[in-house]
Amino acid sequence: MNDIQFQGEWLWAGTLGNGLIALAFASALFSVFAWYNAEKKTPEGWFSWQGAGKVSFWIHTLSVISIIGLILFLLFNHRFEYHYVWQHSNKSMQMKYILSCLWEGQEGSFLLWMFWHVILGTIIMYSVKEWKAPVMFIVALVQVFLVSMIVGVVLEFPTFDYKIGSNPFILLREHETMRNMPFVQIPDYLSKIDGRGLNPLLQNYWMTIHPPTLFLGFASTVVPFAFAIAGLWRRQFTEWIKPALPWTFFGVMILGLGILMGGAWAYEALSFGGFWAWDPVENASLVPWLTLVAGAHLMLVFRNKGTSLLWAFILIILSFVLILYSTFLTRSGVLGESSVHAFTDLGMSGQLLFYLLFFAWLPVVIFTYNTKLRNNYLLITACLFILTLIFGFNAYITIGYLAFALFSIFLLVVNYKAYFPQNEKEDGFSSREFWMFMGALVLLLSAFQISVETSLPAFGKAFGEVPGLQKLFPSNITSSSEAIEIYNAWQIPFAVLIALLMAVGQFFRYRETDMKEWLKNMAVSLLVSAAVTAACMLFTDMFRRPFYFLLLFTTVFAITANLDYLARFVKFKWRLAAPSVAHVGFALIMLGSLVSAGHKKIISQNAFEAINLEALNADFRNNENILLQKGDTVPMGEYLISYRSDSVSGLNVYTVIDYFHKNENGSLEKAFTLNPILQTNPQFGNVAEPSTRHFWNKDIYTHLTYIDPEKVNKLLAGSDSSNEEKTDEFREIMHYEIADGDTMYTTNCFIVYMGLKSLSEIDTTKAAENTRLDLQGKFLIGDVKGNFYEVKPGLAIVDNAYQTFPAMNEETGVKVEMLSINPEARKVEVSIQQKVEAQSNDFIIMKAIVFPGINLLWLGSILMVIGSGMAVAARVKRKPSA
Amino acid sequence: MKKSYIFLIAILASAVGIIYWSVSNAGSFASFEEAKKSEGKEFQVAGVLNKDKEMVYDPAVNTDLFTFYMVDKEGNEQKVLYKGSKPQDFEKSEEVVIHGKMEGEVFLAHKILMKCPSKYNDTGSEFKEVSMN
Repeated sequence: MNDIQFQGEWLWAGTLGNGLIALAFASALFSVFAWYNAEKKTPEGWFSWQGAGKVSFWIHTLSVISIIGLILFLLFNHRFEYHYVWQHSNKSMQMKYILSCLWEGQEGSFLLWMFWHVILGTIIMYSVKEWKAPVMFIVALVQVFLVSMIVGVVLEFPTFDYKIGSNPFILLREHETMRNMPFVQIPDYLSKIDGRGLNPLLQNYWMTIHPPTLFLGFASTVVPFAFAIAGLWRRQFTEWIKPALPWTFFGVMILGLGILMGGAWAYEALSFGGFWAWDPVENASLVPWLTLVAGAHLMLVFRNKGTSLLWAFILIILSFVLILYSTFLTRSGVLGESSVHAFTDLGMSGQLLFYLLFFAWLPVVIFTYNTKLRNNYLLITACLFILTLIFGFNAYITIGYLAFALFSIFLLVVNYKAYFPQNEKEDGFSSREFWMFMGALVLLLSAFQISVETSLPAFGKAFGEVPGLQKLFPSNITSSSEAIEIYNAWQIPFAVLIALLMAVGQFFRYRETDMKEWLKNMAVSLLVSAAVTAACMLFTDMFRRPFYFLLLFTTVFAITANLDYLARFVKFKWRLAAPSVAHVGFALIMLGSLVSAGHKKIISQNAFEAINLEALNADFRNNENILLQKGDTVPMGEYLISYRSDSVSGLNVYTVIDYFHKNENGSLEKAFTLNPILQTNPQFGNVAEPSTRHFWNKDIYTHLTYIDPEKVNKLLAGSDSSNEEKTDEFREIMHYEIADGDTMYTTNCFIVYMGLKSLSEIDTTKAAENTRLDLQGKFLIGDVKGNFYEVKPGLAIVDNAYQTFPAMNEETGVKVEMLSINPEARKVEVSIQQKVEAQSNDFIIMKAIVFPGINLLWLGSILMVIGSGMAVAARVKRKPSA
Repeated sequence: MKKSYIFLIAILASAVGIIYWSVSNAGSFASFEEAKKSEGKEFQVAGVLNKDKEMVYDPAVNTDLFTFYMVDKEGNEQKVLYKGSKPQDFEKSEEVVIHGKMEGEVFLAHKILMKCPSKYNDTGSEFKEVSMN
């Protein structure tokens, strides 16, 4: 078929890689089977299913690690015959970014996720005792699904083909997008090509540390989930909580850290204009974290008081399912036109949806203890699945799934009534567990709101054709353009409630609290925070909106109350300090967001307000970006800034912007210099990289919004743009008929007509046919920098004919010519021309934002991660065996 | 027991409230045709940049005004005024999604998402947000 003999290809690597994938898949599958039997059967003789499970999971672990090692090896050797290597690396790339290349693509990120699962699985095999078999069963099952994402096998059905997964070892010349390219028909194409390379935007240390942390966070949610499912499976509804607790807090810590790192990355290195943008990709990891935090707290409630068990189950299971949901949302392409950086569709949306539905469905199956009922449920599931395969997704199938979901919930309720330990005790209002439960509910609602708003485009796709539901979710529905306002409108009140609960929570005792004593204990922090709030209101002009004020008060209250608790009740014993530290951290994060994002100020307004020719609309004022001509010094905020020069280093164009302060003598003093960068990139598109000046109490964050492409090209070509020749071209010849005081505009100046005067004495006695009348106009030219110039063009009327004497202003290049006069209407006709400025493109447009108090946010992030880590450590130490 | 029912009802009520609020404030995709019919109403329009027509960005006049012509998915062409600076590499965009409303003869946009092609194929193209509002 293909008789070209390609030279120099390492085909063995692909064969080995595919073999390893097959082995990883088979061993995971066998491991599922083995751990299932280990749970169900008692060991007989020499053979133990436990042992088989361990061996197969080890084989799986080694194959996953080998796959990763093999891809790294191929990346390292620039084996561009492999599409993945070609797509994500090139020869000129620095080797320290090789890991970033590995997980830049979807296949690699799935591998990273699998990697953490096998690490966690291995730790579980050797640390967890009683719960090992069922927990490993779930972990191995999850791995089966994940490996399937990189299998890349095409299943042929009678009516359609379905490709399972996307294989990282596919050859470049066999990849569907490259197959017909002429260059891959050349036998020695390998010696001629270079890889597409890693997007330079991702060539930084954030890309090296953020994805591993986030994926470890994702991976860690599987452990509490597996414990919860195991609890359902064994009908030991309560015993799983204790061994699962440290794992849950580990997930809280790492997932939280991953999310915060994402925010820090966006703030430090990307020009999104802030720390958090409520982007779907960000939301997708925040939502499961919120439910995981809620679940972890309810697990604590159960450990201490024996209530809230049902909701602990729901939230822990939900957290993992939401991780899968977020994977589906961000990788299937359903968000398509509404997200900035969702992955594009690799044709795996069906598979991802199946993965999600399977693990949402599994708890229902396991919880249905009645064999007959379960068999019927399985039968219904099978029918629905087969119907989906035959018809694909359409309105009726969707209705079928909705009915199925309702039926599943009904089953859960029935089973709950029949089997679940019912707790008739009511939590009293003065008990700690009651308020922890309320906190969990607020977190759940918060997660729900974020989820719904983010999912709107997906809902439109799912329900847009379904009768009845299409009214609610029409197919063209998408997240609001004002989504950020909507998120804030909900999440700020939620944050107020959470902060309040964090403040008072620990001062309640489990079971019952003496309210008088409680009030007495709260009094100190209440007074302190009231004083701090009052001071903030008096001495700053911030927090003027009611909810901002409330959030200020409640977060300060949460901080002081937790510090107070730490000092007076915990007495700084580290084992008991975790909640206080984590709560202070989280309150600081909320306070820091309130101060920095709620009161950020765009200071890059053009000094000279809107010479707007079209005067279109108030929406188009020059109020967010500032124009800087090279060499000019213009005021911006409290500074005078000057665009001094630019330089090129590799792909980056650095601009040098000096910031000056006026000192007491009124002279300028240089305060600092910032270098906002334009990273040029013909392949992936140019991007601006911000430059930020950090102060203890605020940041000045700047990034370029526009540079003339020609200027960039010149800079890259190495020529100095300032050596350009002066041109004598004029542009924008405009004619006006104007009266005294009228104003005209050119692109960067305005011109005011100040009036006309006669130079010659008009002698009425002379004969009319031999007259000469000399007139002189006065025009005031104002430029963008606020300078004014006067020009005086002349006009002579000789024998009823006009003679013009145009006047030119050198500084602005504006030439004014009076053409005629209309004495009755007291108007003159003028023509305005302007010289094309020689260095007209030697400018930049920049945006500058002041973020006050952002260090509160960073400090809070660190404390929260430390606090969650302390919670893990305290609980690991407390349990010698589990 | 009673208290838990109250919670359940409160949660369900809040959930319904959240869905209602989200849906009633949701954005919607539309063509220019539809946007014209409901002048002044906020829409999101997907389409491509008309590269043959002029794009005007004159930062000396206004740093926050960029004018271009766009063709939506139904083939209608429309002049668009965007409040903001001209996005980097806008000419190279493959697909553009704009948020805004019709006002008279022009579409006033306050947000642009653009999809840039990767060099050799379109599976790697990604949306890039240009403004955050």
